Amino acid sequence: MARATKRGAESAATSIQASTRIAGRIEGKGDLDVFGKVEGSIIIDGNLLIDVDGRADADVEAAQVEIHGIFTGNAKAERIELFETAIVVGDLRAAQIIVADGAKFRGLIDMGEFTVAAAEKAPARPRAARPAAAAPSKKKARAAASKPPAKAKAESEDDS
Amino acid sequence: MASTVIGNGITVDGEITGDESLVIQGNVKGRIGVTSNVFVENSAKVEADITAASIEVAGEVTGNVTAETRVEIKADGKMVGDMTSPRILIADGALFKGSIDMDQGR
Repeated sequence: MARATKRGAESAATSIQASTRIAGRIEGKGDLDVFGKVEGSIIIDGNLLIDVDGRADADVEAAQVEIHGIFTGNAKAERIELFETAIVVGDLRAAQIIVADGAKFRGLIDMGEFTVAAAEKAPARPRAARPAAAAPSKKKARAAASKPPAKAKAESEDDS
Repeated sequence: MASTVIGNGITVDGEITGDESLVIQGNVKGRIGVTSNVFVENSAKVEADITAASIEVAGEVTGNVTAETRVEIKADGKMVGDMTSPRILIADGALFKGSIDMDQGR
């Protein structure tokens, strides 16, 4: 069939459509888009996308994980992003974890091995931006006063 | 309706069920039960019993297949197992070992 042949020539992206369910183990190379249901385990070297209507009850290892739908289980990746429609229960391990406003999450987050001292010394740490109009000057002053510079220094000494 | 695709390089071990058509380019072990069509493409290896509306085999299939309308084994297709379907096509060059049942009365 022409359709099937054409698909074969395209990239090998794997997608599980809305009414399809896979129970078992999925592993291998490439990306996986879940619009339906997956139960079991997913181990891929590409990106995992769980769509708004998608659901995965699985232990996951992938390069990147994007969750818009429902996910239960443990996930390990370089980067995990929970979007505003995400509902997640489980433990997440990744160097980068992003949780959007509106996302529901219960579980543990582990961003790996780092120390406060080392993280402080890292060059790219943007200042927290506070909208000037929204913050009365009294509050600003209090916030500045409550910052304990001595404590931060003590911690860095502890570490070295 | 978009098809579910098991891409080249992906292995699924377990059960695939659903209403969308299924395109297999990678490996599948276990069981497949869909109400639509199944395409086993050139690069695919399937070790599973398959139940579907129709099944097209251009890759390798080991297992018993049951199709509501038809089973087609393409010239590149290899299949070992029993087929049950009212219409069965086996192309010149295709490899097949197993039994065929076209009985409509069931």
